[in-house]
Amino acid sequence: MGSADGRRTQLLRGALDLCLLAVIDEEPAYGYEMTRRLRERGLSIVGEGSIYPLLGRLERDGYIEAYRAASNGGPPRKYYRPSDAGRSALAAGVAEWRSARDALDAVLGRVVVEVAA
Amino acid sequence: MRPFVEECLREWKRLGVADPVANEMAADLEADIAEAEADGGSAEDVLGIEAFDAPSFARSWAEARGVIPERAAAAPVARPSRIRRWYPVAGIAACLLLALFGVLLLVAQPSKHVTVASPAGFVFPRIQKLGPGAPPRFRFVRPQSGEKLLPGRAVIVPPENPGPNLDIAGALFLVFGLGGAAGFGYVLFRRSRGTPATA
Repeated sequence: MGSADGRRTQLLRGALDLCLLAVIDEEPAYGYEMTRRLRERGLSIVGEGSIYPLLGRLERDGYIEAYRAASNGGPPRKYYRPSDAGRSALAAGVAEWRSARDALDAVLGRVVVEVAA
Repeated sequence: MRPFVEECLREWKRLGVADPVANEMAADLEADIAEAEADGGSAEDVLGIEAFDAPSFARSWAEARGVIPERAAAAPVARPSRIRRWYPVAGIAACLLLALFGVLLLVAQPSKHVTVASPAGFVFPRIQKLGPGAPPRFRFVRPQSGEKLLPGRAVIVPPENPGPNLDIAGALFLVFGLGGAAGFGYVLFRRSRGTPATA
């Protein structure tokens, strides 16, 4: 059995591309801004590594597009937004994630967890 | 520019990433780290554990973006795998063995041969005397026509039949063995200094 932290990291890694696509689908963002938004929602994902290689891969594969724009009081930043292919991949990935989550819940949801006082 | 970003920039240039692309990545990284620090955080909030390994981070990002030229992408990584790390050492050992074999061929060249019949009469151990005082060496050979030996008796092989001349083969093994060992030694030396060999 892996540790709880290890399992959480594995789960997040498997869905990190979807999380990034979802975040920039709401509103385009640059690298650190994505990290900050995810952290605000309880996903501290950079512990094991940065999002930059994943962003690079998504861009290379045509799932996201980049453009330069001024940031709030700072230098111009590279903003990312999903492409049409990225939006399709996000929709398919979310459906897949929900299906897997429901199947896991059907098994793990029956487990009674006792919490020590 | 922060030392981490400078180190990334050096790695991108080493990998052959085009200057405009490398500078753009460096600028983005610099701005993100600066913003994290302004938020009261650090580079680790942006980079995680990769904040402690700039070359590895720089390479993985550039690879993911597909901005490394093919030749550089195929080149050994700055931190080679265990196999890649040890292959120069294995190469040196193999070349030194070749050189040693060459030396053996050179010194084993017999000055005269003494052949002794084996008890079975099928294979003869040939004693090679290397010179006065030198220890004999043994080689198993098939009996030659005309050699009629009694078990345990020795005959002198005629000088006109001294066996194959191994001087040239021995010299070639020696030269190529030492040359190869020197080449692998050079690769090992460059790696130990952190500079990839261009050969």
